[in-house]
Amino acid sequence: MRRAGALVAVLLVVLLVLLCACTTRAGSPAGESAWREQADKVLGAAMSSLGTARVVLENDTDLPHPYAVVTLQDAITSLHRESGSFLTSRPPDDRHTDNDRVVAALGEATTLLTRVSTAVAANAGTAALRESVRKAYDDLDDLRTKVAGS
Amino acid sequence: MKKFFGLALGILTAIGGFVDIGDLVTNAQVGARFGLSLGLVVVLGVLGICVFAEMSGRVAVCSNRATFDLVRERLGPRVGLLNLVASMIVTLLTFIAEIGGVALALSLASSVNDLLIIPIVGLLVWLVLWRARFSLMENVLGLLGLALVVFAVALWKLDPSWGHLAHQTFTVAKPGDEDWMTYAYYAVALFGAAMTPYEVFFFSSGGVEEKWTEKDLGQMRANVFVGFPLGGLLSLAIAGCTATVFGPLDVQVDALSQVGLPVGVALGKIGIAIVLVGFVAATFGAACETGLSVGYSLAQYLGWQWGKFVRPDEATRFHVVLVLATMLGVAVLMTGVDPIMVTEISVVGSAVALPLTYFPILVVANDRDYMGEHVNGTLANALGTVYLVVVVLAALAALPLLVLTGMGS
Repeated sequence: MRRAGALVAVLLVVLLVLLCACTTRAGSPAGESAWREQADKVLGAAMSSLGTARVVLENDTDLPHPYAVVTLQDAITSLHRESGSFLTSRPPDDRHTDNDRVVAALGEATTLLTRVSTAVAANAGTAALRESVRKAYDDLDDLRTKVAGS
Repeated sequence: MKKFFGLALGILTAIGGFVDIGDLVTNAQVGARFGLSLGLVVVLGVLGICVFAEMSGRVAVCSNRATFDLVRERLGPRVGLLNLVASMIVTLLTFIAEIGGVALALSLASSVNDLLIIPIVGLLVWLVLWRARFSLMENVLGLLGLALVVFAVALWKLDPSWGHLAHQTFTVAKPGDEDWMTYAYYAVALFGAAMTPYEVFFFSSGGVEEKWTEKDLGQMRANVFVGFPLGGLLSLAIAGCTATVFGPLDVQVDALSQVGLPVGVALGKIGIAIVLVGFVAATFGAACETGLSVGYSLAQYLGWQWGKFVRPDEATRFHVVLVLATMLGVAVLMTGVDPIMVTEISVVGSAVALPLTYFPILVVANDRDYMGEHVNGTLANALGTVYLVVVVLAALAALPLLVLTGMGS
């Protein structure tokens, strides 16, 4: 019994050490590769949310109204969750301009998603938004290639 | 004729009951990111769960006792405790994820915030665990779970490039923008989702609940070897749907709403209505199974009276565990934790706990004192040993991969 308990304790300690190894010191600027990785991830998340919105908008007459509304809310929530840590982290000194562009793009994506969600919830026309979403998606793709190299 | 209907019902409920929140989410995520390039992992996992479910079903038939009861007796209280702790943690996590999954599915149908639905779901799950007959619970929810066949219909309607999907399935290759570490992480998660430990405990305890005898061995094997693989095909259909709709747009699946969206694209409102029935049935059924499995494992280890085949007042401690587990599940979800994240952790946790779950079953199934003439044969032992090596490798890799890939992100 004692040996089993010790084994569980060792496993918990190993897990704790591994988790601690993944955290970074708050306030210090991210390294170049870490920042690029974060930017890639957050822009990917924004593209994912806009991609989901694109599928909803292209099929909104075929989807039940509550389903479309919840799907778009989920897309916004997901983008908020992913962008939170990026927005609070400090970029490397030579990446401030790129960082500003990423932050601005995230803001535009969030605003657009909110407009889409509001329009769909209110059963308003979404034809113009379809084109906006497609364009925003392509712009994010370009920005991701430029700043994150993927 | 009655025997034929019994066989068909068993197979259909095995198909409908195979998919749970872990399968739904993990297959959809993998399909969107990797196409069907991890399809063979699903096949490997389904074959593995067939091997060990058949073994544990045979143990239940031969001994009329369930797995934990025998594990403690055969391997002693220390190994039994290790097995109990590991599987209880994973099963509890899965239970929480399933309750959250039911709430998310109902939220999709109603637009009501899932936090308002969670307590009602918890109450309903507990009522079913307390009052409903075992066979009624299994058959009704298993048959309703068949609604998930709509994924196969949707995939056919989406008309993907079948040659491309087949090529992806049979070649070990990842998409260019993904790295091998993430690929390996999702392989382990898919394997864990397919071989979730609770499925085996529930299956063997269910055999005792339904008083299986040697006459039922054929039915049990048909359920396992026909029903489970067909359930596995549903998993592949889910991945195929998200690969077709989301793959070209680089969409990452992190909400249940996205899992069903390809069905809406293919089949419209009717498709969404059917898939929501499937979501609710699959997650509610799995919530009942995992809730019962928590009670089964603890009661069997401690030698308490357990099961739904006795009146609640004859198994009070077992029913108290069910109440407490349900309350814990609801309380955790009411903190606002994302049920999809709980699901992701639970499938990786499953992978970690696999050896502790399946090794004792292999040992007991080889003991002639319990099994008599139905002791493991050469094929069962060969497959069991090969799978034991695979599950040990998956268990060792699971936590490092989880940390190194940041949960596959």
